Amino acid sequence: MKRTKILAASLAVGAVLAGSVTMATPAEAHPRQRGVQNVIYLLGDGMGRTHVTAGRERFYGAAGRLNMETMPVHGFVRTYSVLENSGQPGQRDFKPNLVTDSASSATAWASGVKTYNAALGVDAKGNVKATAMELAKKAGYRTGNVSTAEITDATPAGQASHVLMRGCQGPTYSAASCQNLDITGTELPTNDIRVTPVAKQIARNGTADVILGGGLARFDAADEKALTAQGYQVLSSPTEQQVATRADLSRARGGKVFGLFNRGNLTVEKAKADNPSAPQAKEPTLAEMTTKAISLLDSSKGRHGKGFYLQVEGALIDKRSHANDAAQTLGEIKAFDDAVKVALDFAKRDGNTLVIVTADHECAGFNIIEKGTFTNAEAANPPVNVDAGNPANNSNPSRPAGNTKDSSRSTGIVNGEGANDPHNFAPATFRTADDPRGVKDGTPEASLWLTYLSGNHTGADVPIYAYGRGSEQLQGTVENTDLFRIVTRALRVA
Amino acid sequence: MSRPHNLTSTLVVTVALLGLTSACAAPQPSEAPVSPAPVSEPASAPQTAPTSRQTPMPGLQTARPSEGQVVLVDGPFNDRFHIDALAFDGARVSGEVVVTSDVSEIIDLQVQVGFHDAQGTLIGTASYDHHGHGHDESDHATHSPEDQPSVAFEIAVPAHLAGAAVSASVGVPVLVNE
Repeated sequence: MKRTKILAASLAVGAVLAGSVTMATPAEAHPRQRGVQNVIYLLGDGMGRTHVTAGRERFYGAAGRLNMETMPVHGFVRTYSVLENSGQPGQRDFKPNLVTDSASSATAWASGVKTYNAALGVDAKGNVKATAMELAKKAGYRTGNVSTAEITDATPAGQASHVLMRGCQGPTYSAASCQNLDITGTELPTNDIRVTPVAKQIARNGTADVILGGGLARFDAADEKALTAQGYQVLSSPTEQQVATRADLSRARGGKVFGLFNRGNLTVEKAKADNPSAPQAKEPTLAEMTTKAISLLDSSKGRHGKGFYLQVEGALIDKRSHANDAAQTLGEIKAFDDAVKVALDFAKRDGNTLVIVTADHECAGFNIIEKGTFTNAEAANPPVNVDAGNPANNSNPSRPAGNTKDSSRSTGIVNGEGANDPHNFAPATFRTADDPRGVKDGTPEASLWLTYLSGNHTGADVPIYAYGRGSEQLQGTVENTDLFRIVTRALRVA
Repeated sequence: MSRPHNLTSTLVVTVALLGLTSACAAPQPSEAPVSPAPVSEPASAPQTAPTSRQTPMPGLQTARPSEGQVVLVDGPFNDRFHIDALAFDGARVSGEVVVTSDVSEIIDLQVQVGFHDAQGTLIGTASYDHHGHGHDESDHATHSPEDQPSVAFEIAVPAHLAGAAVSASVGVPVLVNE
């Protein structure tokens, strides 16, 4: 059975190469759809509802609004993924997985299918699925892929590659990181795109005209040669492993630009602010990369005067949420929201741009607790669960007493007096824009008390904000796979 | 509140021998361009891609460890980890890779080991693969203690190299964190 799948896939290759697969033109597919010139899709990785609230209160006050919150359309996105070999929702073999990873989620909005955690650009049965960025590129749009993560990481890779396993990033292929025998049964030949490291694909497929982010260590000399041959201005040499800087970015010109500013993920804004003379402080901010990407993409229209499709990821919200570092998480929310402002200001000037701001999943159960209280992680026992007035409401097992703080698990505000205890589960506290001038972060007086449930993703729906023609489709609650349909129809490439 | 870095993975160890011939003259991946991106819906078409054969790291081939010695060679991720307790006792190479860069989860890690003769010449290789999460959660219902940011490894000298292998070199060509 699995061998049959591989044979079918091989035959499909031949069919495409021979030109025997009929494809509807965009105009034929949706003749009455009114589209837009440009789409800017911004993703705060791991940014749940509480991340937005905490960012707002920290930087703009309880009655303020982040830039993303000024957009007219607000909604929520369902994020669940599926298990390996699952069908799609509504099919008999549909097997949901309630907590997604970034790869499955990226595939959902980039290719319009639910897939298994770790898969990129393939459905849950391993079939390659076209991405919105590929379709836009094919139709003549200019394209850009920007991230604060390694550019081979799940979110940017979801638009520009197809692999069975997200760990297949490069520079080196290994069977353990690239093959998935649960899907294919037997090992695929190493020239199959689905086991080709993401870096090899990005360096050769030309899917994104503008590539800005981190992850230079994933690329090698052969990749640089391939990029140069396609006409990319390479700001950061994979051969020399020399990263680019903000100054290099500012000088970038031309239609195709490849600029990576760190060998790994980019540096959190807080660290750059705390160490302004460090080499990492020369990395551009997400807002600066977004500004430049828009400038490069908008200044040279695509074929037939078409516009552009740009994806921007604020990746470190997720990564620093995994680490349970609230100060860094807040800083990355602000940095992401600053990039949203860049996109939104452009869209308002341009008048023909759809801006979508959302997340792939929530990370770490970020929460705001009442000032002066504590969480279960700090407690010696869970809360009382008996109702003396109406015993019918009691729970089992009964806890007539409880909800006491465990001093060994809670040794002071974690960014304050408890900062030196690595086993401390106490909250971090931050002053907000509403607090009196003298209130400092890390003190009991600060009003924003932040905690994490875990170091992992959660299954909560995530917020979505939108501006521009077609944004009304995002009001309410949508599936993450709906985003593919909405974007591709807006660009008239569906 | 970050996780401790000293817990050890107990995931199943996969040791794979790499080809001896490739150890001597590692072929480079071919540089055929990747075909244009898939554009149809459904576009279920794997495309031609550069051959991505697994080869020993160049550093294993150029290393010349002395008898009884084990050395770490250059690799793309040497700034993201260190190896604790790296040792070669004549029968096996062991150590613990501690990942130090932005770790919440180690998705993939490969340790390659080169075995060298008395002249320091590479005579064979083997590898160890850790494949963690970033995979279908049905196999891992909860995040288990295995997913910690260090991985212990132990790679035995292949039987056919016993006696001839008197030193070793170690490199990390694959490392992916969440």
